[in-house]
Amino acid sequence: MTHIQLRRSGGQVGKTLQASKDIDMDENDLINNLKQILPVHDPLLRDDFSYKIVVNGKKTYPIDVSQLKGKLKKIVNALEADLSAEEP
Amino acid sequence: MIESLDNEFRNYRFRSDRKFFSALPEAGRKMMAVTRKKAVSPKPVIEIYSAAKGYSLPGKKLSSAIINKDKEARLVKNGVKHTWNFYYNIFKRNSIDGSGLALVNTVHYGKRYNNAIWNGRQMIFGDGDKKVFGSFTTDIDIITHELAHGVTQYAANFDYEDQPGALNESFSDVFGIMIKQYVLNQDVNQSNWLIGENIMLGDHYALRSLAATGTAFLNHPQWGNDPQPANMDQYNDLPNNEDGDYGGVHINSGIPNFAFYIAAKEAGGFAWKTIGAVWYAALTESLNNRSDFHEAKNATILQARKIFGKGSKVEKAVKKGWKAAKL
Repeated sequence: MTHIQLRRSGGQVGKTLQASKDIDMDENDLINNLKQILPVHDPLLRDDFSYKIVVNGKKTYPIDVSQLKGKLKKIVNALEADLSAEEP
Repeated sequence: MIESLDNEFRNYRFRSDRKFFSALPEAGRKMMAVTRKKAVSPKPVIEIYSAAKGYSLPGKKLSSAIINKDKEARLVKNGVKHTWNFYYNIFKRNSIDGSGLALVNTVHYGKRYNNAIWNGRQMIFGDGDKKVFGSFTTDIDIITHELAHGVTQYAANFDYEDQPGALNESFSDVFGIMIKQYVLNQDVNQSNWLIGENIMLGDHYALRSLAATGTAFLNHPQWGNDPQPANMDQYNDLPNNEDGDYGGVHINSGIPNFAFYIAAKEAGGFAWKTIGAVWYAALTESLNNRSDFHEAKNATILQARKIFGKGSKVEKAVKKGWKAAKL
């Protein structure tokens, strides 16, 4: 079991939202998947979201959600539907 | 004569205008000059695409017939047209860049996507998840907010961090609300000064309030409380990273927003005829990418003097606005 937290910041309000759960996926497999979907920073973007996955409360990986596939896409989509505010 | 001119044009079409005109007889030159003047009269170039719930940009271009059947596409087209009209009719600005740049928009971006974006080249609108947010095309002030980011990019081009970033967001809110007022023909007392009052689902929620800063949403089930301060005593010194909203660009924008609101109320009438003109002149003539709140205050006071005169009602209103924001 691996614990993952989805953190979404930016957007129209500027608050960070988060959701987390335990998933049936090996930590190393998960990290390898996350390393394949790193976002490209565009300094001209305004009001865009930034997504990060925190693995087992230690390692943090920024991700590009448009590149998600398969099981990981379903997990992140479910977490995104369950986001709640984290006071800044 | 027309047929003769057409032939002349075909013969000279690969030459420069100057060669073409000098080769024509006098009567033809006058006629072509008139035709040419009409042809360059500015008109908005608006393109609407659909991402069909995917992430490819700009997506598939929509025909006029499809736009008419697609509510979100229609709302964006109308909103962008109103926005272009506002900038041209009020400030003689032809599009985002002042030179007729095509206004490119993508609707139906992503799946249940709760956002609208300016990406440096175009506007992007999500449909919302229908639980927390409806379609981001529903409120004209959101469409105009995103388009104003484009105007800012071609004007002061504020860096997207700390106080310059908060000014970037504030100018988008200020022009967003002002264009909504212009479309609805509302004066400063008729406007509700809310941004995103329909996209955030629920009767008592909006994204931001320029009049009652920090009260746009309270006890929201997902978002909690509106974090915007109205004055410098409440300035939120957040870290310049993603979790800190790059120094609170969407949060501390409440401070210049409140200054604009108080100034506009003090000046009275239609905001775009008074304080809006001052803010536009500051954005396009005075401020730069590193400008902070104090520079915005000084620039708007100077522009108020320049446009409306020293000691004018508008200059006094601008000073009162910044004083209310404790700057």
